[in-house]
Amino acid sequence: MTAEIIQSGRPAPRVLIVDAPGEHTMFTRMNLPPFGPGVVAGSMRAAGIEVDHHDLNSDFSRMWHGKEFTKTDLRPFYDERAVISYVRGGANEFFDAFAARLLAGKDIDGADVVGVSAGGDFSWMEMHSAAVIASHVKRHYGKPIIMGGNNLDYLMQFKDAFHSWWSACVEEFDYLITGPGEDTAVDAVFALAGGRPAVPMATTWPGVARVRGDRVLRAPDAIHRIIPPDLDGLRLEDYANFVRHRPEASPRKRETDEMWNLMQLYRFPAYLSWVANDANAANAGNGFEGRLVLPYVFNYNCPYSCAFCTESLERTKLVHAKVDEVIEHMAGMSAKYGTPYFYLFNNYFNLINGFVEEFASRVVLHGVKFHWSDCARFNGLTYERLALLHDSGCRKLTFGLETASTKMLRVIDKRVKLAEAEQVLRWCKEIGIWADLEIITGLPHEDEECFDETAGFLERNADTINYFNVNRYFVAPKSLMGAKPEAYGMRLRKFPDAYQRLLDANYRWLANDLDHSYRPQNFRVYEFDEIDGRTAEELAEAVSPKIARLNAIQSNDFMDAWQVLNMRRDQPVSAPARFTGESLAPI
Amino acid sequence: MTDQDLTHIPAERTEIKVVLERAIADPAFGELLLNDPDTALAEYELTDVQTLLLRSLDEDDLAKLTPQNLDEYFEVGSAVYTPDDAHLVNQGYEMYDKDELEG
Repeated sequence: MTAEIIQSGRPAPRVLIVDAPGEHTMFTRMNLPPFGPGVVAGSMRAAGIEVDHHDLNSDFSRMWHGKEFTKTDLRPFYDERAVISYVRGGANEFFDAFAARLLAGKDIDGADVVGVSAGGDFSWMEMHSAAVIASHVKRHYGKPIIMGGNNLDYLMQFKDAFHSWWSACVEEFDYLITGPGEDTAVDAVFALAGGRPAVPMATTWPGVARVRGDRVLRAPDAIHRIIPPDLDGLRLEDYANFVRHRPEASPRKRETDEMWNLMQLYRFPAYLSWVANDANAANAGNGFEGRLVLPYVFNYNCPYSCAFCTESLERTKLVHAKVDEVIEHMAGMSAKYGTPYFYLFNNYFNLINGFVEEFASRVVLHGVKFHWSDCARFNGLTYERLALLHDSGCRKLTFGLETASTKMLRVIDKRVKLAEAEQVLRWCKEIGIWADLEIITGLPHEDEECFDETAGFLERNADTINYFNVNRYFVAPKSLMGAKPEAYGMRLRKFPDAYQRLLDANYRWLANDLDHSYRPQNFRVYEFDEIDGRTAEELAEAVSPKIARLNAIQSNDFMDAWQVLNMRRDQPVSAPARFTGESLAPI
Repeated sequence: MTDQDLTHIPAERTEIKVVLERAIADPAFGELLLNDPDTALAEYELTDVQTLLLRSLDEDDLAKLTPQNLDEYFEVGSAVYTPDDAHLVNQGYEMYDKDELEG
């Protein structure tokens, strides 16, 4: 592509990428650079496009901490009609002023195309602020708009409920990309910047959404490519994780500091890691320094078909980087950004036979030092492989167990053997890898006996489980269970005004100044009754004590940590809900 | 354990609080905790996380502790998620009444 531009003598297209802000920065420091937009920026730059990338969460955070707005001022972002009307060209002084403030100092005039990432945090603030920002840019600067981000996949899954968002955005903006943007976004930029014939929205371009009549359609997604995120241009200091750093201290204290840092970044659940970061940031320069933790992915898609998962309905080709590429990417990022810390977000690390051994040997051969966490499956993880993983920097693995009920495991087709899972957990403990679990409760026809099996498993293995995320089951339309609910004993309930009801719940959470962990479960767009069983209302009532019982099994270490961290930052604060809730992605 | 029990989980007297109470009451022990935590903590049964939490404390942390604020820090910790706030954790949109649906 670069050669093509040089030969043609055309100037390189210029793209401004802005990442729409979500609520997260009102609760805690940012701690992870944006992965998806970073990958797209890298892909564009490799194609010869000039990219100016800004994460508007940085600006939003400064506005919040500068007391430029209150939480209740954000009410219009939780009003379906207000947002859609603005996207359709209606006047709204608040949106105009807010978008202008967020975009202050960005070179919009100099861009040929503006890309807006709607984020990936399942946040309505992200999804609506993306639409507002895109509309503001279009009406005041007349720039072509490309919109992407993982949240578009969420919106597309529930496209019936969010039809007004889709029809407005598809009709008002140029391209909405629902899947991987590595190639599609590049093609869209060249088309919009005049380098190629424009591709109309009505074609079946990979991953581009369109509207036909009153239906929102999605062309099959493009195939992912493995590209490291390019974070150039971002305010990297905003993503600092403040960790202990006392080079002048005694070797024993430095050893303690290193252990603390790994505990903070990997052992702690996210809510504690955030608190530790906040506490340490207050002492920056006084034995604490900011380090980046880098997001990276080297495999996509899953060969399994767990019935609750969004990847169970359509078979998608596995994408996996070669081990030398992975090492090159990670070593390159580590050197460029000066950090050994990674959060890997693979489908699961041990997806391909032999990869564990190859990865570990390359790490040793290249003399690189990483610390990383990732998802994993129990299948095929031997003691020796786990030891290799530890040697190559693995500090934590998160396993998607979901349930320890043999009946429910069969229903969701999880293909996990509980005895094998318990063995792997023991080995992880012995080797020094923290093992987290994903647990789902509230599956259809999960009776007391099923639940007791899960609770019993967690109690029995409490010594070897570091932490488990409790997720309440929700119906994902693009899953086997969502597509064939009757086969799983469910009768779906869809509500005509689910969109605004969710927005109202989100606004109530914000306006009532609740903790971040109380954020509404935005995936619960549909409810269900059990066929020949309980109603949705009865299920909602039944799930609460289950969640409480599971949380009571959780290690008290994290409550101790919560108390000590709040003591250190002199802020007695009630403990968070310890409820994860949002796990549409394969786990 | 019944649901009723779950709504009244008592605040456990964690070993960390025991150590900190002693550090407040006994300055020599507080000094030892800062300078030689391995020796100071040898007689306590602590998990590795608890040990690391205590080893991470510095002079400023201990200096600001009093029996009163220590109670305060460790009381709020008892506010773990219970069914009392389940409606907040599980909140999505409010569902229609069954009658309303059937109507």
